[in-house]
Amino acid sequence: MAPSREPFVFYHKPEPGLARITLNRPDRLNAINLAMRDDLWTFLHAAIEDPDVRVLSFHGNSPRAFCAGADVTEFGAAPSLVEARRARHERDLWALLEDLPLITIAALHGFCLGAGIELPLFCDLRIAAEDTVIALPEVGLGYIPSAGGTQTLPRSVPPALALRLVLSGDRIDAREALSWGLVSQVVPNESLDESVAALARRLAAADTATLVRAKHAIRRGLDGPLHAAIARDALAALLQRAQTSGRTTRERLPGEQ
Amino acid sequence: MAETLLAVDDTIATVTLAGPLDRASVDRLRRSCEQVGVNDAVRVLVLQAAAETWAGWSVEAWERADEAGLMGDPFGPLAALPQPTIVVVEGAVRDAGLELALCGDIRVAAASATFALPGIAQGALPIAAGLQRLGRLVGRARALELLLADAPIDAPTALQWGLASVVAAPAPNAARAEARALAGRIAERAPIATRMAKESLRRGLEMPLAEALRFETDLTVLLQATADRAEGVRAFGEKRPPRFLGR
Repeated sequence: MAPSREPFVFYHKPEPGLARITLNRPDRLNAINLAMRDDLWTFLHAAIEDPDVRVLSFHGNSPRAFCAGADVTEFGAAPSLVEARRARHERDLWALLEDLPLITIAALHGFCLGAGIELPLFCDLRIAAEDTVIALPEVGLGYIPSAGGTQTLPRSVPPALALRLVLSGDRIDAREALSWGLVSQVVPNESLDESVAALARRLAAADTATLVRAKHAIRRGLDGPLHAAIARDALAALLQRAQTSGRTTRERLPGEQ
Repeated sequence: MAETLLAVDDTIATVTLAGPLDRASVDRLRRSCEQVGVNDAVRVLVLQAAAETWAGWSVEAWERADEAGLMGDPFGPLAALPQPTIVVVEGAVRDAGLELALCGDIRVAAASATFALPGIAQGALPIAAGLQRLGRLVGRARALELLLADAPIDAPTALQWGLASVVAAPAPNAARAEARALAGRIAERAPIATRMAKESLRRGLEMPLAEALRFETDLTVLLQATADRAEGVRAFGEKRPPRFLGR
């Protein structure tokens, strides 16, 4: 019998409405390998399909890192470039994260390198512990950020900063990340978990379905012409009113019962 | 009078502009960019300029901009370079000076640099694509703020807005030194990957997100065919500095 090992990724529902995904590969600073990508794919679908999950948070189980990036020791494992491309397009973990019908929070601490900041960039909120260090080291290893970072970063912070971070690999700390809006809050290391749990609890108690509609309106609205986005939002709001009131989408006329 | 100097020192090209912006300086900038663009040995370009250059167009260039062919995107060749570009901005960066600076990927600002578009309120609409690049870099609220402000913004504000990527320490020539250090850090990294990272960011920003993510994936798969990626990953595993060849 093969020796049992702890799973690389935990999925866990600590209380009603909440789910937590924890990267659990502390001896490798939670570097994401292929098995972890499969686990993430499975657990994201579990969260989507569970009607009781409304807020999903991401954590890293290592005292030194949320996640140190992709596991480069597995690079070159793909049989061919054509196969590698097909696998990435067909099983697009990052597109799944972008469209998740849940509120997502990343709990950052320690090293958040490469995919360790790219995964959080797909989340709605990023809370950082004071010891957080963020960098994109990829071009120093001969490749580029490939978990969406070249697209999500310049859409989240000014392109002049995004280009500097991606091209130079320069590290920034929690305070600088906060000043750029890359994280929404910086908290003491020891209270990271409780801060994220409190935020998740508050959001899960709100009308999460409406929050999700609004977050998608912002994300998708910024992705196209303004007039089209406004028209789409008006339609979505009308539809939601009809659903919540049990009426049809036709507005009542004045005097009409 | 206005002299443009292109110096290539190993992997870093430095373009130095002097005198106010005019047809001659635009031509020299374009020729420098053409030379750098086809020179695979160059991994980063640094643009620096004299105080008069950042002040904007010469009176004559402005008045004859149309016939001199300066309308539209005269500094476009800088923006179109495949290599990463760093612009050192010093002093009073005004009007066309700012439009020029916006064509770089990364701006290193002197601590005393200030930024403004004072010409517009006097009836001079920018002719060098600055309004489009400004809005895309800092967002519409801040672009409009700069447009309608009655005073220039300072370097710390420019940094906060994302107009500058770095502000240098308040010492003479600190911005040029900071830019060179940054250029050195970029030049050490895999040259094909740095170009593709720039391409992915720059072109991806013009696409809907879903297409942009797909573009990034295609570039990253293409990079798997390079010797540099194999070397980068091997060196990381062996805990030694990589030796990139640009292949």
